[in-house]
Amino acid sequence: MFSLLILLLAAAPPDAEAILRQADKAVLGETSVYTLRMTVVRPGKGDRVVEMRGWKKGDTQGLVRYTSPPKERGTAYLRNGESTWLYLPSGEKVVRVGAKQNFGGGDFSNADIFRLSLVLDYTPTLAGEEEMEGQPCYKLELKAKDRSVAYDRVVYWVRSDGTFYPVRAEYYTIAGKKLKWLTASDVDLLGGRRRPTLLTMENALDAGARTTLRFLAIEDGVKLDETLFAPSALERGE
Amino acid sequence: MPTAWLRYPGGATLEMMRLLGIAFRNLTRAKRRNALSGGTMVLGSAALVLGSGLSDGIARQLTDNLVAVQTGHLLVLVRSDDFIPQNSPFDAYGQELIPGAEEMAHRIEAEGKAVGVARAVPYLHGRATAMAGSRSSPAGVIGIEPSREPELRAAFPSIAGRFLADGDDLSAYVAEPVARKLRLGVGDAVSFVVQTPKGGLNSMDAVVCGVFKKNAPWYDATFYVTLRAAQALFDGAGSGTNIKIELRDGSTSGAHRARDAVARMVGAPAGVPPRSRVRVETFDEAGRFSFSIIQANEAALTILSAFLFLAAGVGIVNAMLMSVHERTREIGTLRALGMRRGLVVRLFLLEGFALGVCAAVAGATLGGVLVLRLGSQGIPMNTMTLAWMAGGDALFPVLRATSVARAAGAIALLSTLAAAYPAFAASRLEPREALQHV
Amino acid sequence: MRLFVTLALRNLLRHKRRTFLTVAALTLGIGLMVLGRAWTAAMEHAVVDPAKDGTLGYVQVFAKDAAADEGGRISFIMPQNNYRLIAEPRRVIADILRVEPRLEAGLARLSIAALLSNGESSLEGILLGIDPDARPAVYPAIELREGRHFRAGENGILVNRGVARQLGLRVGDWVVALGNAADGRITAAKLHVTGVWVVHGLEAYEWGACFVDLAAVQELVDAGDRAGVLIFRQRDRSQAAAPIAASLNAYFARQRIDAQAYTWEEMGGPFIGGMLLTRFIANIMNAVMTIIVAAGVLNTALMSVFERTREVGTLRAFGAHRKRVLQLFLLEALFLGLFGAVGGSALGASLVSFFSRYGIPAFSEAQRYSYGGDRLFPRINWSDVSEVPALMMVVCILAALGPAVMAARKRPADALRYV
Repeated sequence: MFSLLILLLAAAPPDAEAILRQADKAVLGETSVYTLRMTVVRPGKGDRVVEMRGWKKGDTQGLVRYTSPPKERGTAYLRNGESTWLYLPSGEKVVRVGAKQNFGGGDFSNADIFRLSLVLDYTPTLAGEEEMEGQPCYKLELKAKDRSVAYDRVVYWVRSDGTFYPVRAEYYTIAGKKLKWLTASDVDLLGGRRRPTLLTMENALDAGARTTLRFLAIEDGVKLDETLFAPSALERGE
Repeated sequence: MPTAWLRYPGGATLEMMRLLGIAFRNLTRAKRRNALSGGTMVLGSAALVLGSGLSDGIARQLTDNLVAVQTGHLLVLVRSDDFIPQNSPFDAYGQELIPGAEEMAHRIEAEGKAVGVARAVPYLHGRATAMAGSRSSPAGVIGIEPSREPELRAAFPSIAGRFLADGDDLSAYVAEPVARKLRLGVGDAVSFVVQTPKGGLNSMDAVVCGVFKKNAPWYDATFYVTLRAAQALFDGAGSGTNIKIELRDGSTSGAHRARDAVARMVGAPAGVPPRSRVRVETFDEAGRFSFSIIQANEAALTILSAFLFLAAGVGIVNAMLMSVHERTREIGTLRALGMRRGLVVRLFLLEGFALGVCAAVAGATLGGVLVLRLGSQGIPMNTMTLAWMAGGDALFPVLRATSVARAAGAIALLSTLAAAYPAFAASRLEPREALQHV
Repeated sequence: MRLFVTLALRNLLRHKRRTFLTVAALTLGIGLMVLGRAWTAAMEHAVVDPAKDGTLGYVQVFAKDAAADEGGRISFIMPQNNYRLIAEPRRVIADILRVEPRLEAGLARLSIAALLSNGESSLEGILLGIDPDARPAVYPAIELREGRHFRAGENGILVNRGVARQLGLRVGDWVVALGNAADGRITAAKLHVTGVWVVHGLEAYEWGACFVDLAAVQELVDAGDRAGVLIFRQRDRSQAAAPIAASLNAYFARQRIDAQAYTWEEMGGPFIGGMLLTRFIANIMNAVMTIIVAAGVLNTALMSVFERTREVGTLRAFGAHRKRVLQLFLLEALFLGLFGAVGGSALGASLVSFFSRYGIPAFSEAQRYSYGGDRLFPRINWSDVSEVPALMMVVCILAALGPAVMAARKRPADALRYV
């Protein structure tokens, strides 16, 4: 009898927030250091490829530094609390930028890059289970907690096979128009565990425009010092 | 000519009429000279009417764009405390949403009748990125109540499709330059993406219901949608960025007088961002840009008219004096027959008046015909400079009854006044000397 | 001949009042026209001259169809972020100066909309990228409220007063400009605030505009060695610019160069709107005034001819040639014109010098923008003071020509019988 109850409990679908939390940690851990390659694809123009190194501490602190191409080497973005900062070597000065401005000219915004976790801004509800990209997924409906959040609604598919890998996210405006969607794919062994290593953001308004983030190296659980995330530290080299 | 009435001391109306008739007949006696001085007055009054027509045309165009479309006579909007006017046409748009603007507009219209409010109409202006296919453009989106904006409709007539209608929440009325840039025609789809004042991203899809010929250069990238649609787009139900108020007394002084009363009605609503306030501005404050052009035109016209009058006046005096000189014997005869000095003066004054009236009417007609002709075709303002100056791609001179009456009246008055000195000179001629004049 | 001169003068003095009035009309008309000219000229000097010497230049060369991607209409005032650009601008400028001797200097310019940031806050500004070496020759009107002009290679920026205040910038500070390259990446340039610019007369038109080293702007939009517009200054600045632009366009067509020349009048926009209108109205009024004065002279002359018919007949009977009679009347008209001209120039000159000392006050906000300040100070321009009266003298003589011819043609017998 008891075991039946446990079985039942185990078989009950997990609560939406729990799913979201798990999904948020699927790609990058609580604290990580990573290397990634961003490719911006624009119809009619050549692809733009940027490689960068990133540091993430929790959900509110993050730093990214470009390492290649040489023209952009040294460019850095910093998120600390509510502020986002930009440092360009040619500018030689750290300037504050907006969270909703696009990151590096691609389809990710600064907020997208630095808060790949959604649980802080959204209230999730479980909307069922369906297959997405050939995999069985939980479908979550995320509603923005207030009107200052960029995307009023996000539809989020997370693998229901226990891995909680995000598979797809669709971002909608207040009016319900799909602005862009994110696909997580290429699950691979990286930094000691398996995770999706390719994030593709496609622009719903400009056909053919998309940006991909491919993780080349990830190190989880690194101890990161607070001073790393101070704006004054941006100007100093790596 | 019966002589009995020559002895009358005063001037009864009937007598005046007879005198006037004589005056007119006298005019025809010296055709060439009167044609010349009359001709110059005809030219002068035609020039004045044309000048007024141009100036009125510019004023009307700018006023139509400014007062009727943007600011009304009084404008309610939110200004930040450190707002610095840029002397640009966009100064008139509020930077933030007025909370409850629709309801405020109804209240102002209902309660404001006592202080001279005729209408209060809200609208919403915001910046957006407009996208169609793979093209995009920064744009201004303005949400209006179509049935309450007849002046806007008249100021921006459609060259394809039709104007917005109430309830057309999915339609957009597009300016021709941005329609060309985004390759939009009637029936095509366009999307707007905006950042709402609160910070979220929002979007709207619309179908082009009409394309309008923009006249002023600063409306190049404008899309009109319904107020409802704009409120949804910028996430502000019931709000707007501006309330334009039409007053019964539309003069600057009237606006300034009504402003305080309206400001009290508006009060200080909650929900306004910090370091900003709801303000009520008069149209010459909010629309300094356009208003200043109108004023400059009027000043230029006034000063140049004054110059004209001065020079013309002297010429007319001269011509009148020559007339007196020529008719010395005739005047002597009249005086010998008993005509009093006063009557002589009156006769010449009336001749001056008669000439002036004829010339004024002829000149005003000539000028009026010219203005109407140009007003229907429009004078093309084909360089950017002229377009900024005139407030549009073409200048349509306007025939205003008051301007015509003013020009005609001024010429007639001038002619009469110019005849005063010669008239007195004539009256002082002693009959005996005059009759001897050869 | 001297006899006729004396005759003419005496004839004029015979009807003192009439002569006086005709001369008075002439004087007043001429005087006012001189004042009017000085007034419109002063307005041009107040706003248009600074605009031409500080931003508009005299002739502007854009790439052909520069605004094709922006909807078609080229606007000098608007930022040129999406405009088609001119490659190797210095070489093109040198070529144009070689081909067109009426131009004396040229400057390459690229204006973009960019964000200016002091680190904490940012401001949307218009960066007018100009070649610092060419600036003194083409933009002499750019002056400094503070600081100094930037030199080539120091990534300098001259901010305007409003921008300095809003970003809290002082001379010697650094400010970052953020722009977008064509491939979408964010670019930045660190700019050295060397001074605060001002163009006297254009204070109302500063609008977030800052002068920046062209090289920095080119880097911001990754444009390479390209410019949006080439600004040229004329050698003889009183000449019209339209013929120069036309001949440049012909040259471009012949050499198949992808460029188009425009004049400052076409591109001036808000700077010269008021001036053009006043010029236009003043021209009409001048024409009308001339006609009025001419009609007055004609009237007087006709009157004179009719009055003196018998006298003319006597003269002819005594053997005077037709030509002499004609000359007599024309001489009278000439003297009338001369007295009017002298009186008119004196009146005009004194009015202008009065106002040049005390200034014509601006009665409205609008006039302040046209005047570039609270008062307008017209200047005495000797060409105005002499041209208008000379012209009017000619008009006088022409107006009297008809009646004079009529008088000359009268047959002595008819004339003597005239009563």
